[in-house]
Amino acid sequence: MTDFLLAFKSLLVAFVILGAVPLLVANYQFLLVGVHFRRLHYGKCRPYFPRTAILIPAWNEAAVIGTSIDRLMLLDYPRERLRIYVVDDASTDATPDVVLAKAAQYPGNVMHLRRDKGGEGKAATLNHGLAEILADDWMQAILIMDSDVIYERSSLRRMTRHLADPEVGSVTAYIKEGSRPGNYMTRFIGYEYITAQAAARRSQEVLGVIACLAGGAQLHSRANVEAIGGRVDTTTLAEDTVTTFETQKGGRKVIFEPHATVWAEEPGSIVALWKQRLRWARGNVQVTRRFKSVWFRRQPNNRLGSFSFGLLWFCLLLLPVFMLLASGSLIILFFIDYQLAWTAFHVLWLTNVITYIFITSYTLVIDPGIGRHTWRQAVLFPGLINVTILVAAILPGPVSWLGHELATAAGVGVTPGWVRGIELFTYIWLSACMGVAFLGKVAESRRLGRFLGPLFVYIGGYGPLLCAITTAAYIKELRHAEATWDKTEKTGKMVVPT
Amino acid sequence: MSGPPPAAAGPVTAEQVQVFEDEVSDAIRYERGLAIKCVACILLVAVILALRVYFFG
Repeated sequence: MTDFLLAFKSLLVAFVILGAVPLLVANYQFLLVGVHFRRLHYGKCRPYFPRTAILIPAWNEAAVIGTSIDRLMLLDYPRERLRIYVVDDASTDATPDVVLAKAAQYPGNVMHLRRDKGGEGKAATLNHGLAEILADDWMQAILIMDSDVIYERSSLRRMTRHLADPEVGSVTAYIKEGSRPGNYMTRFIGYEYITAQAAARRSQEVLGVIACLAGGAQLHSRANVEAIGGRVDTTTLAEDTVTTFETQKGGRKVIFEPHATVWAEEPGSIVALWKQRLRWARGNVQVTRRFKSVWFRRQPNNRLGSFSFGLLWFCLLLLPVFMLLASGSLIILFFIDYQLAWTAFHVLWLTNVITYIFITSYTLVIDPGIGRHTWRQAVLFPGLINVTILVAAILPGPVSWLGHELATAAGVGVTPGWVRGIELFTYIWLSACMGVAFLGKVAESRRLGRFLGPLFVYIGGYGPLLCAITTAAYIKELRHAEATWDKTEKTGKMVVPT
Repeated sequence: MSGPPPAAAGPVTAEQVQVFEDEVSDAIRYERGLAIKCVACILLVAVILALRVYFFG
């Protein structure tokens, strides 16, 4: 019996320590950003201006498509080498009128392609445009973008210069959140995009493999588009990730150009974020299954199967599982070996403290412009209560003193029972924060939702909210729920530097 | 993998070459700066941990 208990406790401790693995991997990922300068591709670049077709799928985008086209025509790129193809997916608003007006304003540069039967999703719309564009040999490169994104003037030429290297199949840019003044949600996303794009893609480039071309900014050589079959995948919700994987499986490089900036309007509410990210998360689950023969297996001509890349991919995909395992194990340990639970928690939380300080501070200086705009959301990314626990871990003396003072002022005596209760709450919170963040989504559409929604997200945390969405994606995939392509509503509220 | 050389992509002016060189030079400087920032952030973590151990333990 004693042996069994010892083995059981060891297993629980292992689960808690396992919870630190995604944190260690996140630190590793950010450390790689620091050596990105050694893996730059500029040595194989030169000024290069291929004839570029810009493919924009559009469904009811009247509010934003005109501005996007105007901004594209301002690109610092030879105009005679640019053609914009808007594939109108049977829009029911004024999108066709706006695009036709722009076609008249920019003759020879803007084309309107109309699908009479719409609603089959972004990938089907893209394939309609790809078939048209590949039908003649004018196009040397193709830029696939979203209808609402705004390219800075130099962005396209900063991307095309990488295609001067024949080994490169695709290039992606750095997408930034552009809503101004925006709200708490767009600022959370703005901060998240520094971590997920500016940092993560740099580190992936150091590893020699890119996880995903940004859907709003993917440039392909003609040879690459033809090599992947001249069409994008329609069987998953992550056609851009599939394209990225297929490109690299074919032995062609994917490059991230962090100095080509593209601005996008992102969701301004929890419900809209949930809809968008659920699609992304389900897409990632589908991609994981689709490329099951790739993971952790050496590939002859690419690094998709490398151990490091697999570790990055699965730590992100399985983060909610790690959190639930660690939390559940700590709760059980609390009841069977209180001291062991406390020790295991200390190891986990020390890793958390190091990760939080390093990643938050580094992220804010990777892109100082966005960092200044989003620093409050950066600090509160894990949620108010998790941040309080982190501060208590760094400053246990002062926080303990403050707790005693507050309790005394409130007329509550701090007993050992109270202390244990707080410790148990801390263990539970490790997973419960996801549920609290989820409550923000539930509350948002109800009475006082404009106040309660943000409150729950700030308390539970934006990071835990993303984990809750990933959990929902697992459930949807396990239930084989219908995979629909829910469009994110855009309103044209971006303010972008000229 | 090495594919065919890229198709001709239009004449390039001296000004475009200069812009290219300037932008690449700026980008390399920025990326090297990220290495220094990385070291600074690691030092920040070390300082906070040292304070924690020696003063707030």
